[in-house]
Amino acid sequence: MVNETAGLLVGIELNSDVSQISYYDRKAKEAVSVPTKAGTNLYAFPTRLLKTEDGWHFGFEVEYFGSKKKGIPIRNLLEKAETGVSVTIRGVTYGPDDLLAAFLEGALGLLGLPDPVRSIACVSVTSRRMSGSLAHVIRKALRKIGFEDSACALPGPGESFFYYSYSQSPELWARGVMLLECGEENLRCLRLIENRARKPYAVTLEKIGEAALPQTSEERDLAFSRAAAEWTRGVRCSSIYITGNGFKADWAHRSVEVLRNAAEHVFTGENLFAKGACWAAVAKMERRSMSGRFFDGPDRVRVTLGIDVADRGKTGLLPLIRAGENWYNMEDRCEILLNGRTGLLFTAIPEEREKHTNIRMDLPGLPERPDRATRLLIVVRMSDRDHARITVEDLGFGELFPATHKKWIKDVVLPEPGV
Amino acid sequence: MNGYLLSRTGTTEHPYYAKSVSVNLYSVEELLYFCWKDPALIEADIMNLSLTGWLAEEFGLGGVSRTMERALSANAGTSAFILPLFREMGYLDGPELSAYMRKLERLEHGSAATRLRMTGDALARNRRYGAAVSMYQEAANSAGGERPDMRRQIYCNLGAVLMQLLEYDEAVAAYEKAYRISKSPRALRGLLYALRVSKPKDQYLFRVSEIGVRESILREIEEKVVPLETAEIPLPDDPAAALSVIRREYHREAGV
Repeated sequence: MVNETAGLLVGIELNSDVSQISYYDRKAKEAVSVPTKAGTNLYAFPTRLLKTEDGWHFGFEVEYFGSKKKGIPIRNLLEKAETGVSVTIRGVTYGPDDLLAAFLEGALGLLGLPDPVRSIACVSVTSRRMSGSLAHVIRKALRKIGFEDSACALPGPGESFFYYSYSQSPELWARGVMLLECGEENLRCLRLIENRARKPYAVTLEKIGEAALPQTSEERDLAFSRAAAEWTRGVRCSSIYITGNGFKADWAHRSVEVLRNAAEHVFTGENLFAKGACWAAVAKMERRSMSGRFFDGPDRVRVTLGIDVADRGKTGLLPLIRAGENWYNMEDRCEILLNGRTGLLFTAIPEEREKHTNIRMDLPGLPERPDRATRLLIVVRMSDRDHARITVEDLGFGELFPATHKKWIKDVVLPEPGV
Repeated sequence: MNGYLLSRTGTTEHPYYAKSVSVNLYSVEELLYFCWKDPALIEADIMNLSLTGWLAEEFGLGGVSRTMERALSANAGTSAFILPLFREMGYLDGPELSAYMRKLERLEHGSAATRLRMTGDALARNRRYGAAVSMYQEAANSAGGERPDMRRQIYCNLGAVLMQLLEYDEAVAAYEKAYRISKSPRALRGLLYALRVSKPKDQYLFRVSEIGVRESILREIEEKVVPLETAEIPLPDDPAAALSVIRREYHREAGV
């Protein structure tokens, strides 16, 4: 049960099989995992839903009600979200966003808050499966629950790992951090790399190697320890984190030995992504720097795209795409009035580049109206890190100049940064 | 301030109704546009507590609406009421705001005839011709002491809206008065056009010879009238429905 009831910062890790939730404890200044049952250290709950006549049930409740044949459990929520699959229960069809909203509401219920939407300042959701389509559905689900976009963050898995690592004390990251993802059949090694060429330091998560793991304990330990020894040769880093359900301490004697030689601290655990997401919420809402570092992941946009507008008498750039955020987090809209213009002119500002690029968008077929009497809705969405789609709709000007609702679309390739 | 104006307040589903021109306003920008283009209608349509309540409730503009309410209760006039909203929203740039303030001042400190004429103009721009006729007639009645060009302008405008209402005889009478006050080209052209479309040609030519009109002006009038006489207007598919639309539109414009 959470003590704070206002301005709460929450992190959720959604995965295909199990999920977790954490919150930021301001007093202790740490991200705290929320147990599924008070007083236990059972943090992961199944990513499942079930609908009965009483309403939605999630997590462990699904197994209980499912066993009593009160309904059919709904699995693969993330896969459904990615592929847009709906579910029909007793004649009512639920879209993937409805399902995810029900699941997230259930997860937030673990916090024990009477009104989570009012109490939570930012909910940050991560997933090892994070993709553009999944992010879109998560965002829709969060809106359905009642969260504004500004109260949401969707960090990727690498970004969550970065936030988790650098939120720890410096002795746990100062000499480098490695992540070993141990599945049933293979092992993957990643490392946080700092680019110290300029401040703030850009941090990336680079893949060091991958190896197959045999099934017998002896062979498994041997393969693991050999691979780990190769990847950590000549390296002594601050921390190595091991995740994944393929790792068990009872067979990993040689492997643990190798890891102890390669790092000052070795951790196993599954809650670092949920906690990392929570730290992403802290960084977003409290504008906190992670020891002068930022995560320069593959999804991070490097261009700001906006439009110069007069806002209550002051003219300035209204950013619709912001450099530094993940592309799948970016979906912005604004309404403007045309004044002495018949088309639109956007400005793209790449990072580390002084020159701006103007992007012109004509609006053929827009009715001629007096100045300040055409309202346009501009929506900007990104299809990947380098491509944006701008959609413009004519909203007219009330009864004075009726809307045509005509739409124009422009696909934009964002200019390269630092060229 | 060429370019784009950001709308932070958006539109509402609960519009404010501007009664004199029968228009619903769905946004602060529509309200500002209305007040900017037709300041003469502010007093009748905008200066009231339901407008300030609408701004506060629908757009969260409680601060500025309280300032407007204070101006209202102090009877401080149109400028004191509406300018805080223009300033708050930054709707006009410096020169535009100065020009607008001068317009408001003319309206507030001008004669009754000036105010009535400006109100008539605003109603006419919004195609409320019936109401505009009443305003111009009131303006004409109270314009005894005004300069001739002001009186002539009132009658010219009255003639123009009567033409829109197809009240040709009354339009001719209004233009005749305007022409008698001052023999301006606008009054002459209005009069000739009204005569040409409403009277038999011999009566029109008789009046033309009385006035003594230049050939070039007569040609100009003919060029305006001939297309009206020769135009082929296709019949609507559903004449009854089309007539109903025309009737409704006429009633709206005439205010009957």
